[in-house]
Amino acid sequence: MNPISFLTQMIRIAIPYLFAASGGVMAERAGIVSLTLEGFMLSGAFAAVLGTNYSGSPWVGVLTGILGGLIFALIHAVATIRYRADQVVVGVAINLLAIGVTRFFLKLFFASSSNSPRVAGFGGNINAAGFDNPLLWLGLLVAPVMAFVIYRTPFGLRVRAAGEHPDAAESVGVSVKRVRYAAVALSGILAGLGGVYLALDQHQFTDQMTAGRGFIAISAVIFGRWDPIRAALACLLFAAAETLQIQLQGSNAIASQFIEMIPYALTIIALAGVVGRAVPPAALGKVED
Amino acid sequence: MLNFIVLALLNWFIAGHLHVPETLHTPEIHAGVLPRLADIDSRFHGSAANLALIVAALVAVAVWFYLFRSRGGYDLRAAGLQPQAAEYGGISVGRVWMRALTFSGVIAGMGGINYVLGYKHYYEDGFASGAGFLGIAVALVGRNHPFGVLIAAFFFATLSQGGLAIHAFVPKQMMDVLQGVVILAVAMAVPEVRRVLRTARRRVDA
Repeated sequence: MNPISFLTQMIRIAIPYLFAASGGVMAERAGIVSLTLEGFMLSGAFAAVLGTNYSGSPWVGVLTGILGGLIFALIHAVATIRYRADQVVVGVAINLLAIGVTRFFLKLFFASSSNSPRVAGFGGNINAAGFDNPLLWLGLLVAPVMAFVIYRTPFGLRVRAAGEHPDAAESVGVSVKRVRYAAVALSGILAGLGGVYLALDQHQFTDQMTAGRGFIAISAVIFGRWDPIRAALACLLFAAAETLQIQLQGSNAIASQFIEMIPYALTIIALAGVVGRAVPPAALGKVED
Repeated sequence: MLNFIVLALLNWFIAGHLHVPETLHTPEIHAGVLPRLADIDSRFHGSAANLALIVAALVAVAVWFYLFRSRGGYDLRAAGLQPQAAEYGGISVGRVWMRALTFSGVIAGMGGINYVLGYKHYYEDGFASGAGFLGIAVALVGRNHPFGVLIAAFFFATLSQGGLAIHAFVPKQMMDVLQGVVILAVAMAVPEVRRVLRTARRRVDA
């Protein structure tokens, strides 16, 4: 196994996870459950293909993709913050809605029930192995930037306060609702970008193309104990497992399905507290009247 | 998380060991087949509905009886409403949760009967395709009551079957959108209605 090719493949697999998990950390630190990352990614991916297809420029696709993630994030925010709906149920609804809406528009715009036509993307130089894609570099930067935002800016402090002790934040004049709206919107933008990367990397949208990646990202958030850097490392770890699975294919050393389980099994172990219990933000998922 | 582990494990069983070559399903097995309702009563002619439908309705009644007419059900509801108070009242909350999850696993597992024993007569990889997630939504729309769940389940079934019926005029993908919208609307309406009722009651008291 060539270590360079392993590393490049691992990073390319990790990029969507890095975007989505960073968004997940943001929303969950503000106290809103992020089971919706899958839906945000899917809508971002579709919107990116739509924008790229009609403009011919992947940069327009990036913008429309961000918009796609943002729209679903705002639905999520209004339902959970304004209407105080159950965050897990809304998460299920958003994911179903994203599958439905993308399928519907796929039929409407591209007259297909499975995939869009091929669209432009970034880079494509065969020697660069995907590293001439600006989104890839953005993806590598997003976790450190999020760590800075969460731990070193006033906004980050407010986000953490909203997630740990909303009443205390409210009592010193922080609008918890506004902070949560901003955090969820940001998570939609980031997860949307994860979808954009995925779609433009494959040069097309296919039905349900995110295939559970949003759930892997949320696993990374939990396994990384709601810290952006540790979550990013978890993303890299899960991507490494996936790369291993791809490169071992055909060797029959170990069934690929067991490697597929690694992220989820690790997350359950982390939640069950076998090695240092993962403690979520105190107000995560709580609905206050 | 466990969902994905089970799916991967089943995929390993099916793809690696039990499948009919070139497919992702097991051979047909006729030993445990549930008869279709059409075989029993000709009025159901042309419907794929089978005995699992009746079993499901009976299970809903059984769940209602357990929850609202038995001691175990009383303990369960108490543990759900206010765990500390239930513990104080002498209920072992941990044991109740263990029991509730076991029952829930057994009953949800029966959901597979309809497809495997009643319809296809084989196990196919990924046949459930999100039915479990829809189940959460059905429970919500049915307001967590066994009879409400019956109505909600028929409502969602009508939606997806109706999608096929109107496919000539509207793409059937519209039904996927509609399901999401319905769940979202109910999830948003439930706490809102509760709040409105509470304020109304407070006004009456004052």
